[in-house]
Amino acid sequence: MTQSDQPVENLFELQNLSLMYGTVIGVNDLQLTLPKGAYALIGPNGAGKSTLIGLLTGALRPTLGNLKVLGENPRRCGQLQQRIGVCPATDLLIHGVTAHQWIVQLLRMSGWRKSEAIPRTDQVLEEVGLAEARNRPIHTYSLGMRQRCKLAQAIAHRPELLILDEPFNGLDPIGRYQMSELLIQWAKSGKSLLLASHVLHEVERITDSFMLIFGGRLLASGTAGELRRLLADLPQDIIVQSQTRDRLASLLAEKPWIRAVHRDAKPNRLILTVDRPLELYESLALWASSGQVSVERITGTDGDISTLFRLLISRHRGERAYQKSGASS
Amino acid sequence: MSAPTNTTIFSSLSRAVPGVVSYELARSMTLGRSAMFLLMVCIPTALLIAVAQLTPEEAKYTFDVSELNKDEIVVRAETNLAFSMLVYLLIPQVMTMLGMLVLASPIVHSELEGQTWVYSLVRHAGRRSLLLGKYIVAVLWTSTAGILAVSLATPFLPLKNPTQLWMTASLLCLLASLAYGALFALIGVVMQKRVMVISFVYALVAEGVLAWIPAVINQFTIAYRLRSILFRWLNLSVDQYFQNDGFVRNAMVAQDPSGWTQIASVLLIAGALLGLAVWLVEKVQYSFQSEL
Repeated sequence: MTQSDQPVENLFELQNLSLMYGTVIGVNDLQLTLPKGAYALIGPNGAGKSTLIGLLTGALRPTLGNLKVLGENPRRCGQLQQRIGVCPATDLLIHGVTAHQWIVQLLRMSGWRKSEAIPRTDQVLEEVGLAEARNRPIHTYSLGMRQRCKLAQAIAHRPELLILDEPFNGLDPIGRYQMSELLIQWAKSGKSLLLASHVLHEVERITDSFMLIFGGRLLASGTAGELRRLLADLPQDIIVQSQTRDRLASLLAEKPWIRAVHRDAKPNRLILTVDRPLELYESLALWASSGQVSVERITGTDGDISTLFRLLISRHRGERAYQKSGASS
Repeated sequence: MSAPTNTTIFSSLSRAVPGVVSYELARSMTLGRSAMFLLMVCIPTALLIAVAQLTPEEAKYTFDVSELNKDEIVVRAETNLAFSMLVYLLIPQVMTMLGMLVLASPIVHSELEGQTWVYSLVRHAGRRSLLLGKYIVAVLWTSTAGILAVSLATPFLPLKNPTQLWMTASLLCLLASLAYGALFALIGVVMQKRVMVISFVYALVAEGVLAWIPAVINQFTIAYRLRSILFRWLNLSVDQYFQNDGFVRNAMVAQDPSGWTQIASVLLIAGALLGLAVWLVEKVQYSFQSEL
């Protein structure tokens, strides 16, 4: 068999994958095939990201359906674990152990000889910027250092696929930047990556391929641009700051794409619920240029991922109207 | 240098288990663990010495009144039996069992609670090596404490053959550590909540009560096997207590003449329980939401 005849090894193959925690749905009927590459798994807390990671790593057994990771069933193939690195979301709370001791031990648990594990640990701690602190107990590290330590253990055994769950949690801006740089380098090196996060903009620098998960269901997938276009087509809340608030409100009230107009307690502010935001922007530009109204500021909810999820869920359920609780006209 | 991708589970385990053992040993050298070790050694030793000191001389020894030569002093048979049983009960039976309960029961649970279990899940020999490595460390700690306690106490006790008791009790400490460790590790693998409570109740009911009931059921306990080894190797006799009841006599101690069968039985029980625990730890699905 020549190389071209060999079947392409996908990163993930999920077929009707479901997992139930008793009567609670963890993930629901996931159907997905992805080639190797870097992906972000986006979803609010409790969406099913960690459960999906548990299934992909073989820690959890699906209730229904099948899955393959790098062509193997993670529950049945122990060798697959050599090809996966996992960085969990939970904080690293180990007392009385240095990062060096911990990673050497984990490498030996992966089947490495001590003579190989020690230099590799030195190398990987250097890569994540913990070389200076390698002999300090982990419990004395800052949160950012602990995150990097978790990343170090995940990449130490040179996996082909790196799975990270909320790697930016608790990091300060510098820590976020450093973590992003490390992950960008990883993705650039041609290795696969699955990055779970609840904040879209954090992962945009690292990958342009997204999967949106909510309520255990895969709602959408695509690039950031596609997701933003999707968001633009969906009803959303927009705040407009205007000196001519009342005039603007009366103009907007006539438009069919306006769902609700709310006068905010703050002066000169209108909160709008809009079906087609692009048409609002066009109209505002037209009215402002013709002097009918003044517009000082427009604040959208473009980056609010939870809004997008609510909207996608209501669309998924076939609901015609999206009602934001508390909104009034 | 590259990651070993095609290693068998056995070669992975042969590298992983020593790694876990050295890591856990280094990690366990804490003030708290050292204090626990000292207590494990000192409490039974102090109790044994205190009982020996409080026992009247005439209850301990048969004096040769005509000569009054110290070399002629002989320890009474019943005193020898009583102190041999006391050493066995306090050290291999109670201290070792409780030590293993504390150290082996939470092998999995402590990792789940500390949110470090997830790191072993994604290692080739992760779960199994963690279980075996921590089991070995628990056996090392407890059996060492037991042997040390026996070594410290024996010279102060009225015994016919202190060396023989020291050897037997030390062996029993090791055997008890191996068997109870495997038992509690298995309970820890199967139960994900209230592991210590369940282990304690099991120890109390099975090893504390059932093992001392003169019925067939006591043969399924580890204490029965350990007790039989003690009696055979020290040539102790239970006949004086159960002269009129052959059934009870036979039920309390195994009738194996050498004791080797009982040693093999204990090792077999330990091996079977540990093997089952190692098999199950790979199969059982542990709660994951708290880990990731």
